[in-house]
Amino acid sequence: MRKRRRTVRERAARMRQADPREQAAGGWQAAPGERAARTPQPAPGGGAVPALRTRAGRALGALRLPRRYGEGPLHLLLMLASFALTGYAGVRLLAGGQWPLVLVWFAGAALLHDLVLLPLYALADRALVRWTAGTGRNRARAAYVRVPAALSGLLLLVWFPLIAGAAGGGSAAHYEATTRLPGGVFLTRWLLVTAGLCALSALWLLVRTVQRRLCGAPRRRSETKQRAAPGA
Amino acid sequence: MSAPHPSAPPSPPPAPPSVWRSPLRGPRLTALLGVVLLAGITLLFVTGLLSYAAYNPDLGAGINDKTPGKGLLGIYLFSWPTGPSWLYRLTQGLHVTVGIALVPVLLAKLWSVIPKLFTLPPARSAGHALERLSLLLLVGGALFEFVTGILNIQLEYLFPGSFYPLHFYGAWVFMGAFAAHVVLRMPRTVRALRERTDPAAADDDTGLVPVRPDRPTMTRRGALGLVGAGSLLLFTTAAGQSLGGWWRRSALLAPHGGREPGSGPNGFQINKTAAAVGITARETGDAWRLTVEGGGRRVRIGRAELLALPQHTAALPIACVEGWSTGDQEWSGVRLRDLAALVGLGDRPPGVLVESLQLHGAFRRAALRDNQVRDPRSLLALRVGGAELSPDHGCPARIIVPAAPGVLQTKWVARLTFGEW
Repeated sequence: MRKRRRTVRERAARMRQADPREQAAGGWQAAPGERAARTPQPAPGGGAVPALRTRAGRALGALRLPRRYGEGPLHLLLMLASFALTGYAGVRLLAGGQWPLVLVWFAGAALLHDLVLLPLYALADRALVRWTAGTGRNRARAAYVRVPAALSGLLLLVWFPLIAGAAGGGSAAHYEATTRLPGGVFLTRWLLVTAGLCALSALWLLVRTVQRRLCGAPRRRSETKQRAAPGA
Repeated sequence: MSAPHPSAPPSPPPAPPSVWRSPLRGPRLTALLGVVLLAGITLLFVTGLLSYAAYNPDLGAGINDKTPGKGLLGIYLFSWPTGPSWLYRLTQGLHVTVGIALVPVLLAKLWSVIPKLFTLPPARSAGHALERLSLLLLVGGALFEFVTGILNIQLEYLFPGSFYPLHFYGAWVFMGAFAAHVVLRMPRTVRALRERTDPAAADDDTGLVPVRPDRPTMTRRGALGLVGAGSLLLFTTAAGQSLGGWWRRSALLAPHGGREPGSGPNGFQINKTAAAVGITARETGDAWRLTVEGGGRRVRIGRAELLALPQHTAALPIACVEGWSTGDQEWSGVRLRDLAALVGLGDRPPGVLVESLQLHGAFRRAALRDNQVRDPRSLLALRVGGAELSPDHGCPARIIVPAAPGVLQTKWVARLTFGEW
C-alpha cells in the first residue's frame, strides 16, 4: 500500500519535473506516442520495479488524465469519493434557513484560527522569548512563563463562555436559572488555577536555579561549558 | 546543499517563507500529533454516532428526530439497548471529555502545519487545488465541530440553528475530508514515525521543515509534553462531571462540576429547572392527572391511584448529551409495562410517546422503543432516594429508562400514548 502510493507520488513528481523541459522543447502538449513511450520507464536505480508499478503506469496512461491534474488516478478517485460524502452531508448542513451564517461559521472558524488566533499566540511567544533574551538570561527560560501561560490560556479558550459569563453578562444568569448551580464561580476558579500554575512554575525555576548554583558553582569558571549546556 | 547565500545568484524556486522559523516544525512532530488525532477523532466519531443512535431517531413518526433529512447518513441506526445501564454515561462521557482533552492536540497539529497554508503557488495542479479545498473542509470542519460542541455543553447556543443538525451534518462533512486526509497522508506519516529524525530543509518533501530555523527554546519532546500537559489539565478539570461522586469536585471548570446543586435525595445535578421551562406548582399539584392511552382505550389517573399500583425500585443514572452524568439514584415508581397494562397492552407492550407538561423545548415530546418499555427497570418514577421527586427533577412523575440519554427521561409527564401515535 505504502509502496504503491509512493510510486504514484514519485511518478507525479517526475511528471511535474518533466514539464519545464517539455515546455522548452515545444509547449504543453507532448505527442501521445512520446508520452506512452516514457510512461513505463523505470526510475534510474530502481532495478526491482514491482509489476504493480508498471501496471499503475499503464492505467494512468489509459485513463489519459489531463497532465495538469498532477496526481495519480487514485488521488482523483479519493478526492471524488471524499467530495461526494462532504457534498451529501454539506447540502443537509446548509438546508436550514440560516445557511449563509453556517457557511460563515464553517469558513470563519478556519480563518479566525489561522489568521487571528495562531498569529496572536505565536507573536506573543516570540515577544516573550525576545524579552527573556533581552534580560540577559537564557532564552530557554521563556518556558517558565510560556508553560503556565499556555495552560491558563487553553483553559480560558475552552471555557470562555462560563468564565466570561461569571465576569458579567446575561449568560451566567441563564446558566444559574437552568442548572441551579452558581454561575459566578468560574472566573474565580480559573484565576486560582492560573495562580497555582504560575506559582508551581516559579517554584520549579527557583529549585532549578538553586540546584544549578549549588552544583554548578565550582564549574563556573568554564564559561563555554555553561553556555553550551542549556538552550537545547 | 547549503542554505542560499544572500550574494548567490537567485535560485529557481521562489523565495522560501521565512516567517515560520520554529525548529520544532517538521514531519515528525506533525506525524506524532496526527496519530493522536487519528485515534482521538475516530473515538469521537464512533461515540458521536452511538449517541445519535441512542436517541432512536428512526422511531415512529420521527418524534425524536432532529435531522429528518439525514437520508443515508442514518443507515446504520439500530435499536438502542437498555443495558448496561451506564452505557450512555460511558459513551457520551467519553465523547465530551475526550473531545475537550483533544483541543490542545488539534491546536498543536494546526500550528505544526501552518506554513502549508501560505505555500506558493496556491495550487500546483488541479489535483493539488482539490486537495487544498478538501483541507479547508478538514480544518473548517474540525473547528466547527469542536466549537459547536464546546459551546453547547456550556449552554451557550450562539451557533446558527439547532445544535443537532449542525453538529451531526458538520461531523459528516468533516469526516469526509478527514478520511481522505488520513489515506493521503498515512504513508508519509508512517515514514516520519519510522525515520525518527526530520530531513534537512533542502531534502524536505513536506514543506514543514523551516529553511531558516530559529534557535530552539524548547525540545520537540518538551513541546509534546506541553501539549500533553494541556490535555491532562483539561481532562482532570472536566472528567469529574461524568464520573460523579467525589470526583465531581475535581471538575473545577466543567459546567456540571464542582458541587451538587442541592442536598438530600433530590440534590443531584439538574439539566433544566422547573422554573426555566415554565412549570408551575398549580399544574403539578392536586389537579395533575396522568393520561394513559393506547389500543383504543384511555385512562386518566391521579397521583394517589399511581401510588396504589405496584411500586418498583431501580438504581439508574441520568446521563446527559452534554457529557455530564450522575451516579445511580434509587428511583421508585410504576413500571412502564404495568402502565401499558392499564390500557390492555400489558402482554407485549409497544413503544410509547411521552408528553410533558412543558410547553416548549426540543424534547417536550419523546418516544421510547418497545425494548425500553419492556425493561423491568423502566419506570414512571414518583420518588427518588426515598423522597418525593422535587419540582426540578420532574415532580409529580418522570420517566427513567436504563442507558437512555437524559433528554428521553421526560420530566413532568402528563400523557403516555402506547402503540400508534
